[in-house]
Amino acid sequence: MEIDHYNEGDILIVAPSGKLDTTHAPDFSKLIKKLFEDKPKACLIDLSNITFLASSGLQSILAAAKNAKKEEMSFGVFGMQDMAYNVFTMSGFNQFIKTFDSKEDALANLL
Amino acid sequence: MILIDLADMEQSLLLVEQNLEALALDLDPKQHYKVAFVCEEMITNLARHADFGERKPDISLKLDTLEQETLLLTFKDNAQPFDLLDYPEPKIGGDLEETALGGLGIYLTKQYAKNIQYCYENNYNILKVLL
Repeated sequence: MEIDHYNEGDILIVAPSGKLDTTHAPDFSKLIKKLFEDKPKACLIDLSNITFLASSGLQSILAAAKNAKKEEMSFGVFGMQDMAYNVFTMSGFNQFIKTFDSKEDALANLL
Repeated sequence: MILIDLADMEQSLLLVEQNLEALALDLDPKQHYKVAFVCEEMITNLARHADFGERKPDISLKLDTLEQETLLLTFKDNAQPFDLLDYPEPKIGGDLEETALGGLGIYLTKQYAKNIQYCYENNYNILKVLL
């Protein structure tokens, strides 16, 4: 699994690719924790290259969202493919995590 | 039949994926995703929560294709009895703070399955998931 990260203005964007599952979710969580130490103003997770999202991946996103809230940081996700979106919404995560279709949409509306 | 080694989850899940690809190359991508999802969740669940006591873990998965796009997954393990049909559902659609970290895999497996049957026979949990 590769995890890219960069800044767009004040917003930290983290873009994992491949499977966000039991094997790979711990790496994602570890990186998020490290990146949050710099206290970014906001964070977006780019899920457009996630081909498989399991409950362990959901849990790592939930942990990131909770951590962001604690740090008073805006947080959202964008770009999910069909089945990842299905897993995300069936779990009700779109009801408490800002969810956007595209990066443009997310950057325009997160803050 | 695929033998699952909980000590090497990554390899076990890869083996499942390879078997799935060999068995159902023309499976609809959504159906393929659901099968991979349920396998991942059930095997992860065993690795994290199953109590094997003094027994050496003996876990297997059988994939059978039924008519058209339907697959039957049979998970068998010698852990303490665990019936996921009795497992309480997590709270869905609450707020961020209320949402707990556990139970989502089982909940989604139940949502995706057309049918689930569980029994405990000869010291083995047998779980049949129809997808």
